[in-house]
Amino acid sequence: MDIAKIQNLKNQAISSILEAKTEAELEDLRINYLGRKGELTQILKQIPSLSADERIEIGKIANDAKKAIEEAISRQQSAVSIQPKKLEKEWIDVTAPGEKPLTGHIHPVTQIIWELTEVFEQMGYQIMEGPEVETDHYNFEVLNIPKHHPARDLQDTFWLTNGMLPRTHTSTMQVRVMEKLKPPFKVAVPGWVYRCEREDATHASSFHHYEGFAVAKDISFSDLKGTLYAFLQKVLGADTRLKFRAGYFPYVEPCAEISASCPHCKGKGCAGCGGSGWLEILGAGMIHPIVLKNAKIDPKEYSGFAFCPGPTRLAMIKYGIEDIRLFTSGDLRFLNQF
Amino acid sequence: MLISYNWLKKFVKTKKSARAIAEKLTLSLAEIESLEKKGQDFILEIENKGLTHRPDCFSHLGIAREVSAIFRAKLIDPLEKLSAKKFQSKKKLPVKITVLAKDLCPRYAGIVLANLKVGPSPNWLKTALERVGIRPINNIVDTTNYVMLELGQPLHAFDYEKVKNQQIIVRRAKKGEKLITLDGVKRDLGQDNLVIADAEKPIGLAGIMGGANTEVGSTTTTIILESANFEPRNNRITSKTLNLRTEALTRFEKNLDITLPLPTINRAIEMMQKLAGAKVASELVDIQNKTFKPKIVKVKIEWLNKFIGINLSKEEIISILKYLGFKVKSQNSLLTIEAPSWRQDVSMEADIAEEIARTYGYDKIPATLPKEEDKSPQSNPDLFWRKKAKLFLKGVGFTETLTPPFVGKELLEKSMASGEDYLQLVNPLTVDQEFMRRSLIPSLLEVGKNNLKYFDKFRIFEIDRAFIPEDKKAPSEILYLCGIVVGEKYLQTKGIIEMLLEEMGIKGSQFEPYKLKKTFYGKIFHPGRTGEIMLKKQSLGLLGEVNPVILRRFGIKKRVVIFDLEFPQLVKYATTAKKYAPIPKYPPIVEDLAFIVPERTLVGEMIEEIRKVSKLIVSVEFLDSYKDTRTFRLTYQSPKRTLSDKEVEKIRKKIIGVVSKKFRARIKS
Repeated sequence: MDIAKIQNLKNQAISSILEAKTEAELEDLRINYLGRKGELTQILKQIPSLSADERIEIGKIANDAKKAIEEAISRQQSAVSIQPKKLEKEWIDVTAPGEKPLTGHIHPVTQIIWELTEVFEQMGYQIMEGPEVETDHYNFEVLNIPKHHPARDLQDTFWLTNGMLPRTHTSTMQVRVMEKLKPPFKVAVPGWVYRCEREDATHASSFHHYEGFAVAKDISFSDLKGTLYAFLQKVLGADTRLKFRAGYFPYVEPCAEISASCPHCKGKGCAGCGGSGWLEILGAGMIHPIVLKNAKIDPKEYSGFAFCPGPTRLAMIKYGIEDIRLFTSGDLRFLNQF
Repeated sequence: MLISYNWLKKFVKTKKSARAIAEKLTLSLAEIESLEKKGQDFILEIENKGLTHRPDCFSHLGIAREVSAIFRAKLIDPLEKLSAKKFQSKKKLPVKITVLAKDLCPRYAGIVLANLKVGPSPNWLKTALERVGIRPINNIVDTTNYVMLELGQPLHAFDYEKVKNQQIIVRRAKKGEKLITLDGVKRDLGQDNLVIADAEKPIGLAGIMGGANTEVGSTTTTIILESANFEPRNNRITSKTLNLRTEALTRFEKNLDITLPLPTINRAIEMMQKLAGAKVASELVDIQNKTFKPKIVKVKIEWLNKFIGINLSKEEIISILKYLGFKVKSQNSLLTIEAPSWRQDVSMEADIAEEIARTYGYDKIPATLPKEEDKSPQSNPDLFWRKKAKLFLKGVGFTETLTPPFVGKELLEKSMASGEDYLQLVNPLTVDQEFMRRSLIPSLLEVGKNNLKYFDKFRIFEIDRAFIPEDKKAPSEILYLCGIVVGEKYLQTKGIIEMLLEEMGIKGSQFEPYKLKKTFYGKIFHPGRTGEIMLKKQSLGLLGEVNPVILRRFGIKKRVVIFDLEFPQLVKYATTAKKYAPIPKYPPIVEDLAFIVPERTLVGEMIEEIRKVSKLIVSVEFLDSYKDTRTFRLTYQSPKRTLSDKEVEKIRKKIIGVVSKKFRARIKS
């Protein structure tokens, strides 16, 4: 058995393979060398009859040659199969619309609530929830709104026949939380609130609030200001400017109404902000000492602030929605846009 | 409320423009909603809501005082001079004033004015009133209105001749008494209503509106002029029960200055003398059941500065307070502050802080952040899983709705759910919002029906609360995950719910045919196409088609699949924990088995039984169902060795035995 013959056979085979242009040619070559009656196969068949020494030496070379030929075929196979002409035939129209999997939509108010939650959590607030059907006690009395006080007119209230009420704000959780947690704490409460108000494009009887409040030693009004800048700049954009003005909510003192520069026109005035450049965004203030006392927190030792962005209102601003009633309509023509 | 710029300038020395004043008032007091030029004047409209605690600001003098503090401009305060005024009466007409309901009438001042010539007011007065939205009537009524708008105290004039026995009695109305008020409405009165009465009947609703029976008209020559203080709470109750709000009530309900009746009655007398030739015809009666006791607040300068976050000097702070009418004494850094009679809303340190902060200007206060606590907030698993579930459902094509919890009788009847006990609103806005829902299903059926006008296939879900009334305690508020699918088969939705449970790490749940119970659920679901999702013998909720009877009531012509899961139950079993199982090293053996089964044999139970046969069965897949044949694909695999045909055969025999026995089925060869 001649080693050189095997080497020649291998070289010859590989060079023919490299020249092969089609898969059929390659298949012929494979049969020619490696098929049942192939040239190399014939050699391999003779190996068992050789002397022990030859068997090892020639066996190794012949097997290596077989491997090399196989590899060459497989390499050339990819070359001949991916021919430009063939690929050209596989043309598709990439401008045709994509086949989309069915996907759904998250309600725009939920999306805003999630955004606010993220900001609240970054700022160290614990997110809590509370009952929607409330007592007069937690909705009004402990918030320094006694029965028959004119401040009750500030929130038109639905009443239930059992004497309770669907809460008019998420401030109900202020005293509930204070009774449960020991200060210092920062808490934020999202949820539905309800007002007995005739519905129109800007008034809904069911909408959302997201109240944030903090109680600790030495919290000041300027801390409230700083918190609102940090919070609203994260929500509305880093270049947001704020305007603080006096207001009245019985459960905060001092009380402030906050307007933010319109995120669409950056304060220049546009249709979204009624041309003023500013949007009334939330009410805030220092938690009234009476409220702290009602929760058995000593106002001499602790102070706190509260502020309440409205996710529904923020959604209207952010997405340019003109009619608040769309949010609760369940109309897919509206919801599927988000 | 409307404020005239010219009128304002009678009480405050300032050259600031109306616009400048409006801007500053908005920042420091309450929003000026509009500013309008009228003739030579400017009219500012102030938002009343922001002044709920400030009855003093329902007057030009009150607003002037604010302007004076904001701009540190001189206030021209007429009150002291007016209080000191004395009138001589030559003629003495009898009048007897008695306050019986002392608790409801802290002060009552009255006087008789005679010789009046009732007629139109002079033009300046008419214009002044018209500009701030008050219709001129005659010189007497106009004067009472003018003084109210100027100084904040409502006044009333009774026609002396029409007051029986010249007696004024302030008392509670008797049950059954009636009064036709000046607006011509007949009012039924009772014990809770404070009235001004003469010897026999009510002649006015105290603090709200006078009676028609003593109305001042063109023939009136003599009046009893009233300037009083009424208890605000009772005033509000009367106003609410009679559904009557007036300019007078707007002021009285906010707790008016008890010292105000005297200077204001004097002011009115003075004006009526000039405008109607009035002659004082009695002593001034002034009954005081309560005297003014000033409220004292002690505040430290350091506390004020720290609480607001500023650094004002003692002098600056005192100056602001003095402009606002407070009397301040100081001892080192301790201020002893006496609130004026018109500022009954100020009683504690925080109130003083607000006065300083708003007058100094919120815009000048620096912005800082609270000191960081070394306490990190606890996460909220409920919200975590809710978000996860919502995102999962969005991913598989569901759109989220948020529907209000209020439902009406019609919707409940359509859903055959009206027999239950509901929380009920006393004052619903519309009949379709009379109750609070105990299930989200009727709301979502309604949403589904509405969307069918535009879509023939959709998936909708909502995670929201339902309200179950409880006896003598707060209702249960249960969070439900409810979904409605239109245009798809039951098993497609079931697959999604199974995937959701998997996503939440909930293992081992099973669907069982729902045995209809005598509740709302029993009626709304299709009896043969509803499954209850069970985990550890507890129900997680239902998944089923809606009963065609209900669909017909809604006018829905397609099949509708609904699921309704108690979300807290899901959260209870949800977990993010996952246990890694080594990837099997030994090859599986896969084979299909087909059984011929009797009608309505439950495939779910068959799979369960087959699985239980051996630990070496790693999966049982339901391949298909054809007539009475059910085909399963079984995978046998061992983590320890390659299984032999013999081993598999043994298991197979066992399976066939179990299935044949349990389900009266036979293997199909």
